Amino acid sequence: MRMVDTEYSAPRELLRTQTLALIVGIVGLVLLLLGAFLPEELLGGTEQFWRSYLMGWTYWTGVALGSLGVLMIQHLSGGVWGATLRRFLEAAALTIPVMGVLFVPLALLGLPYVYEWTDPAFMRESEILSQKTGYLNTPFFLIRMLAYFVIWSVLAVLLHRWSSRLDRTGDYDYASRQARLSGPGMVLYAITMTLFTVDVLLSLDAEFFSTMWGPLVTLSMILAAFALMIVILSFLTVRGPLSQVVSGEHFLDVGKLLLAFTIVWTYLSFSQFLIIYSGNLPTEAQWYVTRLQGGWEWVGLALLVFQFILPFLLLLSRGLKRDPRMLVRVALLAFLMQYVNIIWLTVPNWHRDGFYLSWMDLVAPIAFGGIFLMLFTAILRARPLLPLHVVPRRHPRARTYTEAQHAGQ
Amino acid sequence: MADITRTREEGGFILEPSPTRPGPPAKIPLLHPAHNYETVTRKITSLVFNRTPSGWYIGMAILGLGMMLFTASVGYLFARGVGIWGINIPVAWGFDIINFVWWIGIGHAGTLISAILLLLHQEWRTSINRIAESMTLFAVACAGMYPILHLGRPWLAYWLLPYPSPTNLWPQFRSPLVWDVFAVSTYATVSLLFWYTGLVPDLATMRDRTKNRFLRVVYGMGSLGWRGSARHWNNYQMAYLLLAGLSTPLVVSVHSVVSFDFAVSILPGWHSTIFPPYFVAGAIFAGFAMVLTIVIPLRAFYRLHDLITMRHIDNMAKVTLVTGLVVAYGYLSEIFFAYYSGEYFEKFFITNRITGAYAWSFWALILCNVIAPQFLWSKRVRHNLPAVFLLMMFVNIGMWLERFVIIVGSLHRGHLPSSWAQYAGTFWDWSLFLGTMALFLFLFFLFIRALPAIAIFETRELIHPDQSQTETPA
Repeated sequence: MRMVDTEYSAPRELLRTQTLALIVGIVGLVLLLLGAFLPEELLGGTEQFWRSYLMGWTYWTGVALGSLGVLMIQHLSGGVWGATLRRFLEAAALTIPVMGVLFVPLALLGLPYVYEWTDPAFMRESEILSQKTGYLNTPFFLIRMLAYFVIWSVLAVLLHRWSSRLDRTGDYDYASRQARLSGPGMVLYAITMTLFTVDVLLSLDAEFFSTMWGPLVTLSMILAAFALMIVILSFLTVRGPLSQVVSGEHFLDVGKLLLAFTIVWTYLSFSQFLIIYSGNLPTEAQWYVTRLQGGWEWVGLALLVFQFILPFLLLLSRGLKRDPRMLVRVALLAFLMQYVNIIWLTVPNWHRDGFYLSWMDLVAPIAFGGIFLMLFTAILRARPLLPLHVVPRRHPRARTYTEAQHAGQ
Repeated sequence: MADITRTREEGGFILEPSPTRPGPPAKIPLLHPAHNYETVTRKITSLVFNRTPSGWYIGMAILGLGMMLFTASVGYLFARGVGIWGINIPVAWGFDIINFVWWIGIGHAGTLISAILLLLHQEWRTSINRIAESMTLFAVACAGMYPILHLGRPWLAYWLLPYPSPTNLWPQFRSPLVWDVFAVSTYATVSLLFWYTGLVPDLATMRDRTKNRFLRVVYGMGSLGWRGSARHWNNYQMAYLLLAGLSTPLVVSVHSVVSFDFAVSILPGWHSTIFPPYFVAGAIFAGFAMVLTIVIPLRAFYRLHDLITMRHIDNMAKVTLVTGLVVAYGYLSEIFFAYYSGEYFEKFFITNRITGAYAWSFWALILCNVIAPQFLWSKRVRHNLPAVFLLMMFVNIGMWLERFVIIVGSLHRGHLPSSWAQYAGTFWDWSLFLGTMALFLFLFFLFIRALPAIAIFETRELIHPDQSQTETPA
């Protein structure tokens, strides 16, 4: 047996990244806490604190949850792209229990500042809202959140553990166990993610509902996770040890998938908009009416241009997808735009008469990002960056130089 | 397991498992290993060049009767108008639209197999893509007829097209019914082009192999002067890939537009934002069920076990299971959001769907589309042909019921209680439906005898000396 562990182990730089992330996370959280005590003129305050907290938390928890989804998909579908990304996905998914714990402060102290349905008097006022109190109430909400995080944590921990054992023993039985768990796991994932996105984001507007919501927001999270994984993969390829294995063909694969996720996200978003626009029913249309005036329309336009049109056009290019230095920029754009998406989904619910953004809304994702990346790098460093036994040295569709010349490329 | 023992330098694995540990189970090869270029060509062309089997004549005789029923149904409809059907107000869309959506959904598997699976490098598409693409064409032909027959004055169907006319007639572009005209006609055109492009090299093979001078001319014209030169192949591959790229959005767009026919209205049970992806999944679900319904008997009749292996059946069954789960998610999500919405009409419609006059159709739908496909989780079931065939019949019926539940179940209890009514198909509804089924199979029977049912050159590509390389490990 060859000793290859050292060859693919995480570079030392990751330790520095981990420390840096921890510092950023702590500084960010301190800033947020300071903001909580600032007056409203300085765009601070307790209410603002919890709202920003929710936004930052949702963004990065979305990355962890999206990674869990992609992880299970690649166990079911197979393919080299999945095996190449597997370690990153596993590390991101394993942060789920901690992200769950980070929700506890909000659950205990912050809910009334964020969700209008926590106020029984408000819910009694409207006939429609009074029908929803059986689902939208604080105790049931907390029970559901606990259930989701337990289910996801179990899935993430099992997939992570079996992957480590597969590394150690080379016993294929662990690989088939992962696939066998991922089938029912995806079913559970679809159900829990739908309810989770309804609970955390849809219910910010207690009146609005849309059957597309679950798939649409879950896909946004998957898109964010996938984009971030591409960023990390190219970082570790361009500067790190993966360049021996990961080639242009690998980036072509993940680039195509990023393009596919981008298109599907747009398709789902547009379908939801068109159907609600045409129906023009008060409870639904008001959600878009708020978002298409008072400055919010520019946020929507930014999403259209930078989350769809620009990445779509760029990702059509084969050369761009094959070049990690170029692809990483598009992936980074897609990843950052997902935070704009979070802003679009959340803030207009609290500020219906016009555009509003606090500096805390921008600090929160950095703070949570620091914590997430600290955890992520810590988990990632513990094992080789590629799962052993499953990744071929050479991409199956890699062509030699002469072949590529013949094909005219 | 050749991959695992290969050394690193040759492109093997990072770490070699020791021989005592079990590796991944070997996959069934996509083509029987005994095949070579000559045998593949001979076997596939023999479906056309051999003597017509007597079973074919018997089948055509029965289908001929069905075609007569079809002609009679359409003829009587033209003579008497849509009053012969069971439709009424408020259920103005009955069997015609149910069958339209059913047929157009079935077509989607062909497009998915030919376009998306090609782009995803799924080589198992090879021996079934021609069958599936032909199925698409015939299903779209059946589907396209229904909206026109439903018009009442079908001879004015061209009014749906925007053209400068002296009557200043212009279609209402805000109506999804007009989008349908474009979506379906684009779909039919691109599917036909894709199907034909795929046929060109095979038609040349047929031309070269036939001993009949007349057929040589016919196949020769169809093959557009194909000589098989390197330049031909190079241009051909590029054209095929581009067409695949063009077809890919069509897999999604056509059934999304069909779903808009319902979703952009405000009828409870129709106005639901999940409809586009849920209709697309349903279409692929129905399509794969129909491909299996056709492939399983065809494979047995012509003994194609070496070309269409259990791995093909297994993969198609898996796709059916996955899309079936998406469809089940759609049903669940409608029930959940009807409750969550807190809206009276939403709750009323879902209660009516589950317990109302047409509750039988809903529960039959759950049995066919949600419960039956769950057996496909088991590999033993997926490898049991009669079981797969039976389950696919459940799905075929289930997807018809789904459209019945959506269309009739929602229309018969609209917002206005004064215009509530019941609906049932009449003899002529059923006869036309049976007639289109006969038409579909009739076209299929002709296709099997006239053209290579399996792509010859693509199947030959599977006989690569280094085939293990092209199959993706991991």
